[in-house]
Amino acid sequence: MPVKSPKKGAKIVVAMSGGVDSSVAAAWLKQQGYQVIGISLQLHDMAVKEDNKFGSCCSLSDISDARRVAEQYEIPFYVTDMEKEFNASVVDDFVKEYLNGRTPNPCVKCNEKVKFSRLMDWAMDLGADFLATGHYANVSFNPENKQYELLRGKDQSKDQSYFLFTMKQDELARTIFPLGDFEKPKVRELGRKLGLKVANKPDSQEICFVQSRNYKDFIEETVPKGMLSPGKIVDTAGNIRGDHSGLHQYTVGQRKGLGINSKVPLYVVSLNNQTNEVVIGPETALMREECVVSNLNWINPPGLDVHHDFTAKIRYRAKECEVELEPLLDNRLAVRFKQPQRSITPGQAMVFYRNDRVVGGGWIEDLPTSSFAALA
Amino acid sequence: MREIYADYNATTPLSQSSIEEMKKAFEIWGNPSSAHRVGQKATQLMEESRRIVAEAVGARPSEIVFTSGGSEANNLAILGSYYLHTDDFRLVSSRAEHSSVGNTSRFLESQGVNVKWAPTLPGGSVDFDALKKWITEDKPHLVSLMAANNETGVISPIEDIAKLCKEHGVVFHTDAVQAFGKTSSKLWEGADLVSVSAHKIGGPKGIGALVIRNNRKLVPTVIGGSQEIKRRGGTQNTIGICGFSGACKTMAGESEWETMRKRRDQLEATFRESFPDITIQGEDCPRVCNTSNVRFPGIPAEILLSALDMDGIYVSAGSACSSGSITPSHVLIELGLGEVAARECLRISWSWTATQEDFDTVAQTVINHVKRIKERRNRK
Repeated sequence: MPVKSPKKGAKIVVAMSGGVDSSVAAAWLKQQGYQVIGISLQLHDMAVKEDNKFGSCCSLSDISDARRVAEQYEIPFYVTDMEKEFNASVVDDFVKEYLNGRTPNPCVKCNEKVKFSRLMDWAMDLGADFLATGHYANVSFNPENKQYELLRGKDQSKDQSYFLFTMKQDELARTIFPLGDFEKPKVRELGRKLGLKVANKPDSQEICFVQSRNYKDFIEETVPKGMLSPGKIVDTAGNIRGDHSGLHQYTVGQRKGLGINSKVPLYVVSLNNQTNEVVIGPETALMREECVVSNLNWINPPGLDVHHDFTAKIRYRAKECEVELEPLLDNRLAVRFKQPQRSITPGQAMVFYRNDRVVGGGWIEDLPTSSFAALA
Repeated sequence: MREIYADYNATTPLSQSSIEEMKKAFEIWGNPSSAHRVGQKATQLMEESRRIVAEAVGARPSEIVFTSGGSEANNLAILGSYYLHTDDFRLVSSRAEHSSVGNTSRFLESQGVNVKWAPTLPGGSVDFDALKKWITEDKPHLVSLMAANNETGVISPIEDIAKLCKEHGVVFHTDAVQAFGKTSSKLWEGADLVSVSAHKIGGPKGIGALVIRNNRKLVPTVIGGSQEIKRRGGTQNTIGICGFSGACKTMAGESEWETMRKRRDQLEATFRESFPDITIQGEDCPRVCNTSNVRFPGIPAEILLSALDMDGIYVSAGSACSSGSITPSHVLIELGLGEVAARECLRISWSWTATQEDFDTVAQTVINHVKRIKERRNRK
């Protein structure tokens, strides 16, 4: 399938974070002769965090890095304040999910609600033909069914297609991922060749708004004390094994920091929002054969094909597994794993692939499949 | 690409005459406080400049205190008055002021000072009737209200306020930074304290003045030597002062104001012809001749600004924060527009040197972008 490539001289808005990827994307597109416009998003209150030594995505020093690249390549560059939207649709959701005993994925939310909606609108209002980001993924057009397709990035270890499963057809039509066919070392090399000072900048690792802090500290600083409710740690048999000071401190599969003496290693098996309990058990209790996924987005609706053999990623870094899908009511799916999977984590995204193509995805729920009605 | 800079309320390019005057001070580099001839030459140069600035501002040379700019002049007027009456200082200001007045007043309020905020009318001028009561009954130590609003260009009834203050023995300060060079200095001749700045009229940044009439007392906010009639310590910025006077020499006057006003009004009419739903902030109020603050409903001004920027047309949509993103004007929000509407307001502030062609180009380019954005949104 041919990867979509814009016509000569097209006007492309590049989301520039100041990191090496989006900087190379912008400079490279400019070098290819496109009309490039750079945009940085201001997503949190810079003034408060100016003393932050560790630049992560979109801190003040990152914005000035982006600005330097733009200046170097004579790219018109603007910063837009999307702090409100970001707080409302990413940060608040992140905090709420943790408080409810789920483990959120803010990067997917940011792509969905900020980058490919608000920023896309911005770019189109500016008269751009495309929005480009530094994601490692690809978009192609299938002339047979006239649908756009979302493909993995060429660099398997960097592939970010997982974070993009919420994209819609009209968004894909107006999006390009200039780095999709590059491998990361190549991108750094290109950055050096392009003379970019950010070429050797380390990759950002943390969640941008949490930065160098621990996410637990972030949540505790963000919400009123009263919303963090202490409760019991119980084992799978229902015995009380200890106390916890809030569900937000735990995630499914966690082993460290439970503070419980035991001969066999114990793990967080589930977080019960109803009883405010952390449920722990041995490693075997982590294994699941099925789960429910909700709020589905199909990039290419599979239609009757849905039972067929997709592979699934249960979290970004998970090894793909084979699944069978059964549609449920209300835009949900029952997912059955051909091999039991460890640490299925409510709140994480499950993304379905067929070969190199993202077919769609949804959000992992904490209820058993039996609690939902089948579609047919 | 032909560039059109229409953000003169933010700052102006240096005028040729300002540059020439500054060159003089490069050669005459003495300290005006030195008694020898090197110092005396610098004093002469500075005092000549002071005379020119005084004439332009409508004051006596002895009433001019040079400061590092409009913000310092405003700080000196307010804090300098406060330090005279720290026990029971009473201040009247408004929420539509420039931040160097507004935030100074808010700071005093946070320190327990009695600050009364005069109600504002749409556009930014103050409600004179409400003010009247406060001045006559409360007898504040200081009333500080701007002459012309930087965002809308709306002129406040400064003459009436000055008169009323005089009758009741109240000191009146006006921030005339945005009115200076855009209207007659008669407007603020009744004010006791007047702030002006050089870089809004073709002078350099970092130099301004506070007019202090009738030898009124003020405690200096920059404490140092006895420079500037003991109201502002520190060796004078002779280069800046010369640049200021150079700018005054070629400042716009009556005829330029009239031309600007006509073209500005025509521009607004052209916008309205294409988009009947626009609002012009302060349209029905007296305004300075160069400023239009136009809201195109549904069109974020930030996007319009960026689109115009790429076409080489430079206007304003609020102020840039440290990251470079645009924060909508607090003044517009204070004036009751609300955040959404404030984000849709574009400020175009013209130069006295702008040609009809410049106005026409801006009109056409803005209209094209607004049309394009509207069409796209309708398609969606």
